[in-house]
Amino acid sequence: MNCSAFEKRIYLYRELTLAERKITDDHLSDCESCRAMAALLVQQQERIEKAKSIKPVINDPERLMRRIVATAARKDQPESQFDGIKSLLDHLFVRYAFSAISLLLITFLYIETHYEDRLRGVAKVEIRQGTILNTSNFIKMHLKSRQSKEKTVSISRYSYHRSERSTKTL
Amino acid sequence: MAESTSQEIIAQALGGSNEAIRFLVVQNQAFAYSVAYRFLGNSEDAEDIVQEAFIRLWKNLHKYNPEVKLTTWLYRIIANLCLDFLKSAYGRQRKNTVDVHPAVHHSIGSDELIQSNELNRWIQEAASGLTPKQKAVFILRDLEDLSVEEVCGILSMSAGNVKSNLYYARKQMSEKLKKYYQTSDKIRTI
Ligand SMILES: [Zn+2]
Repeated sequence: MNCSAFEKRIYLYRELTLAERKITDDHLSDCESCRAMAALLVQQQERIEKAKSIKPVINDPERLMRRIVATAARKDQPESQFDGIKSLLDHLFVRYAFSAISLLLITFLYIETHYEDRLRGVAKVEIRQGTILNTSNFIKMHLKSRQSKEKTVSISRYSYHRSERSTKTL
Repeated sequence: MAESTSQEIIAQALGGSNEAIRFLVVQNQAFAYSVAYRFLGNSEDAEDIVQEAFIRLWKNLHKYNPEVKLTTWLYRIIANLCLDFLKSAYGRQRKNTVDVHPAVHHSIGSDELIQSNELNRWIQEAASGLTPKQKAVFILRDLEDLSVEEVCGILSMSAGNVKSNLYYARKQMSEKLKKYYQTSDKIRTI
């Protein structure tokens, strides 16, 4: 073993087994540079020992205790499954994933509506007139338009469905 | 606090006793704060972490395993909260907000106290250059005097990983301390 291999052992001297210490001690007795490094480390560990005997203390323990007990009293219920879901939803990745899915859905709906309209040459005004914020109607309209694709070449499906819907909803 | 007493108090706290909760906080908050402060270097953040640690302790008290010491469990909660804090953007931004005059517990004379205080603050500053993991092993092993096995359990790390981080942490701290003593005459007598 060379000096660089012993360097790690010197820094981790406290963690060495007795056998490892013996090998390291043997090297230290022969090697002046490693001995100097070990002496410096011992000195600095003594300084850290001294510094660590001074414990940081709370400025106002009573105030902190009241704060903790008050919050604990409000949240003293054990963690439920709902908390797990909530914390999952809180996760940044999940938030981004939901945003991406929403954006994809909006884009899909936009393309789906406008692309077919362009193909059929339906005026935008007509679409606005025929669109009601009722998703079940929208889906019915969509399915029927798929089924009658061949038949409705010359008829605007939106005006057709609008008249059909208005009879149903009235 | 004796572990048997601790078990009784935990049982009472689980039963909803506010007195038991208060007792557990009184018994452990000083130690919890001291650990959090060593990680973060300022009292404001340390108090926030201590508060959050006790809330988590409460929420998970029903999962408490009596074979693990309550302090070990608290160490684990605090260390993980501090690691998350240090890794966060906010924590990185707060990295250099070390208290200028930290409140400390002491049993030595005032001159020596000023010098030790200064060294303590300097150790805090030097440790802020370590990676969060290096800092965690340095604090738990060298400042809190826990065994390697305890550190492994608290940080969920292998012994090899703990020792490797400890080596880099000690090496860096040693180099910084050397520079500090070369440039400062004030605490040369310590
Ligand atoms: Zn050597």
